[in-house]
Amino acid sequence: MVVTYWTFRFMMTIGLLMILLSLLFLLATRGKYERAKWMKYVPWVIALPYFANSSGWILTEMGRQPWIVQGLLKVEDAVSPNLTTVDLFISLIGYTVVYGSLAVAMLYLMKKYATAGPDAAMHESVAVAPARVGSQD
Amino acid sequence: MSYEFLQTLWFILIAVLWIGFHFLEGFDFGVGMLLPFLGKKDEERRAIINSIGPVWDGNEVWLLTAGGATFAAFPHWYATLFSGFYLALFLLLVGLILRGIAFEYRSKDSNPKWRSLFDWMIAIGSFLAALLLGAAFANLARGVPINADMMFTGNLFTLLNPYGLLGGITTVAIFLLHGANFLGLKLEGKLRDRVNTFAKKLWIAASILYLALGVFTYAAGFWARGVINPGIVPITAVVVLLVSGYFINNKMEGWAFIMTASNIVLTQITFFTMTFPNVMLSSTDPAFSLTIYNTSSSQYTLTVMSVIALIFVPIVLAYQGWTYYMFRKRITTKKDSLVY
Repeated sequence: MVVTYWTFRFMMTIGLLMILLSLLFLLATRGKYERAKWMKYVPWVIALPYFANSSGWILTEMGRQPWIVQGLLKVEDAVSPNLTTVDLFISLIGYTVVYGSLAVAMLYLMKKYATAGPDAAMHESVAVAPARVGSQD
Repeated sequence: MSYEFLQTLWFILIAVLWIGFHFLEGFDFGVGMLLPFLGKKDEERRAIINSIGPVWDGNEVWLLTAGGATFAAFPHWYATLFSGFYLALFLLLVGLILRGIAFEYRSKDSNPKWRSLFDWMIAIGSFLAALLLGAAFANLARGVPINADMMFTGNLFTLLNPYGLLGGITTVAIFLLHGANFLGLKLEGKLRDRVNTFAKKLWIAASILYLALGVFTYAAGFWARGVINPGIVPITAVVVLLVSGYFINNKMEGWAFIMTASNIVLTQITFFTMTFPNVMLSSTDPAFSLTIYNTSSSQYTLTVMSVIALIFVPIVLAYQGWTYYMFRKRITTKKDSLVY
């Protein structure tokens, strides 16, 4: 199946790439890397584990069809017979709204903290009152 | 160990998990619901959240473990319950998600609107969870429509009957009181005085609702339909709740908390003894009821689970106890000592 074929390769490639990048960054820390030009591309690496993770889950969930327990129980036999389509619609819409809103809040916070930079980020969570934990000065 | 012994053992263990959950998460649901009403300033709200900050997620694990243990030990019980109460449990999950996220996100931005939004999410999430849990337990005590194939034949509205709703509202009131008593132990100064005033009012509401629920349970014949009569346990539960009022009025917060904690524990013991050995009563025909015998997994599974529980439960109890010990001190609203 084309999806499972590619999600597997996607996951594996990104996984190995991340190991490789970690080693490269480790080597880079021996030199002067703070002002290096390539550093501005580094934040894009943040996206990699999300892609690898999602690919892995799509692979698992699609790859195991039609089984919910391999060789023992099929998805169609595991469905709750007393659930209606309406029930499922309500819950699916509910989860989408909740997780969608959380994604918006998370992106807002990520952008805010990324823009503020590492020093500000240490203090940002304590914007109203200074904390004992996390502040070094 | 005999099969019947293992089935009874796992029923008791699941009951213990639910008892622990209601006792522990009861006060943090209460604290969550009280948050926007009790805390006027940001520092006060942060102090209230910090009172449960280190422990609320640990408390919630008791719920997950109860669900997980039901799944492994009594798969038919789990299947009927989770498919039957699908939308109610979905709403419960939404409440728990909103609450959990709000604890983490509220202080990540200093905008008062942002903080207020998440404070209300904590309150609403806690309220929703307490209400639904109470309603679910009341319905389990009352009996729900289940057919010969162990299938729940009702819907969400089946659960919204007067008894179920009374159970939900009573649980909310008891948790509010329990939360107020917990905060009485954890806060100081003005906040502590304010929470004491709240507790006095909440005690009246909780007592009236609890008595009403007790009378309803008895009058409607939901009483002791299993093989054990809970006997003096529910009476003691009423007495300790009433006695907590005395301690609240005399500012004996430790004793007040012990009394509401005992009330919750005794209520849960009543619930599980009055249904045993049934786990879900069928209102369609008592013969269709789910029991520990017709819902359990195999003897081998139960034996393996017992060994695992014997090893890990003491470890979990030890580190949860340690957390409470570490964070045993009162919390002030002084800016320089308030950790965000």
